[in-house]
Amino acid sequence: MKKLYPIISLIGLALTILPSLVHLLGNLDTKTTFNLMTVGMVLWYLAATPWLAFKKDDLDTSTQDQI
Amino acid sequence: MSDQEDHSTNEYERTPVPNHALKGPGKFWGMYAGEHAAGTEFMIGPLFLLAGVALKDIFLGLLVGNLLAVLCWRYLCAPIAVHCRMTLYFQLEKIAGNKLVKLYNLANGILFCFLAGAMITVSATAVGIPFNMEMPTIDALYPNSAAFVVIVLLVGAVIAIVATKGYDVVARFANVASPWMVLVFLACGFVALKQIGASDWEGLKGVWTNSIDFSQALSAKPFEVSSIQSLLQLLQEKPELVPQALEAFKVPNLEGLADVTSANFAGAAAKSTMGFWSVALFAWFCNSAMHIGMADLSVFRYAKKPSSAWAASGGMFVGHYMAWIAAAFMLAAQIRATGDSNPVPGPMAANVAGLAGIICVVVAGWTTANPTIYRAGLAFQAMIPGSTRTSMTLLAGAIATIAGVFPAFAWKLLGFVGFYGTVLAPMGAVIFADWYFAKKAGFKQFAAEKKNIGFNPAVALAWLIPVSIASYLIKVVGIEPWFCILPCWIATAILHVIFSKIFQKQTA
Repeated sequence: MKKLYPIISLIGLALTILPSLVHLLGNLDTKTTFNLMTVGMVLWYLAATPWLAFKKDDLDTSTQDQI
Repeated sequence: MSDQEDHSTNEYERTPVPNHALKGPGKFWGMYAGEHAAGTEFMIGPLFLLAGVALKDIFLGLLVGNLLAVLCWRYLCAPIAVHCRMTLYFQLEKIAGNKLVKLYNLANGILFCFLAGAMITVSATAVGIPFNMEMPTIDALYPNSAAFVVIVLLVGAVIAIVATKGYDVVARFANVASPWMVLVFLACGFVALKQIGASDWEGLKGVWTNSIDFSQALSAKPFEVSSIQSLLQLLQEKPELVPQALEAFKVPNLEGLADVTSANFAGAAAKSTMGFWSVALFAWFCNSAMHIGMADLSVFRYAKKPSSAWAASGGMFVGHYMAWIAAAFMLAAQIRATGDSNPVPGPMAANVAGLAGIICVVVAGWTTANPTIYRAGLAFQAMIPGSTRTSMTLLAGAIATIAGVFPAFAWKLLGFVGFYGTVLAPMGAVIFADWYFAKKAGFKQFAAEKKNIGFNPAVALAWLIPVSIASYLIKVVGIEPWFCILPCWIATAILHVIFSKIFQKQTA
């Protein structure tokens, strides 16, 4: 299952960006675009959380100002 | 920040980073790209449009400003970081003394609370959508509905309570969210471009200019509204303004006024309050506390070479170029589609990305506000002996939440970010001058450490004199803060050299 997390995550990211690009350049309607982006979001968080959330932070980001 | 006890990389806070802990450049690229696509980006881009920035000035001004910011990271901050391998706080303590570092940290903490407040407002605009919450308008200084206040209080309370659990939880969630958020910003830009409906540069420029003219006519005194509907409502309440409104929108009667859109607006051209240099200086200095202010010594002390600082371009050109422009297009698309120039992030994102957009605004606001409140809590804890981190984090959260109730903090984000840099960046000039000019000018480097003092008056005066003058110019005279940051920084560096020589001669 662990090996699937990166693949599912990347599918989630692809579904986040590609529908908007097809919407801009092609004929994908707004509703379908938004629905596909929602599916992409769900896939990303379901798979990327176990994949990335438990990795040790390598850098000290505690001084970042978030702007 | 001396007690980040729950952060996984809190080692080497008071010792130089050893060779075995150094990181390659790849780590820095990922970190910067993620850190700079935050909740603030949803506000900054639209505020450029409302300030009347020309489309060309946005593209070129941000290009130049972000490039200059990256060069500051590479050639000012990273060389010192790689040589000393110390955090900003430890290095500053050696020069300024621990009491003055606490004062600097307190200033940082207070400013962080207001930044977090603006981000709580941003998140609340997305959380409020399912509840049909009346959105605050751009002219509103105070909350406009009880629902808005309740949602801000709830969002603020959740953020503050999570922040008391420590930095690590939030950092982990932010790590997961950031790649997705970057792509949502890009997707928002694509959908917004489609809604704008321009097929070439000239078309885009036309829509952009119309949006500025239309929104500035609405927001101009005495109307100060964000849509034609609000204007008509205002005219019903104040019929004496009708002639002025008909003249401003160049229509013969109220029926004609009701039909005005950004596309057919025929009123006067807008006056820009931000030109190329304002945009470039804002982009250059919005992270000035990090690069010329040297806060990122804490990051680059882990770098094998100063060239790792080129990674900052990942943050600048993803977060402060693509995301700002995408967010600005979101407002242009909203104005074109609905005639509403209110730059409220929740509805704007919902308009171009649906549910994913709404969630992105909530997540972006939360992942920005949360660590910010945590850091403000640490700063307050350092100032109040015997206080606990939990109580101080809750205090910071309460201040941020109260600030979040007033939407004006979010609408004034450009000025706030500039002021933040004006106050904090000059401390980087102290580090810079101490590092490069101590031997040449004949004063002791790391004076506080060598003289064993907690408060170095030379640093305090070098920092506070230029900052006080700049604060007067910003708050009283009305100069835009991004014009003050560089002069303030240079003045602090010069004064640090002069005062160090004077004070060290007196105590010799």
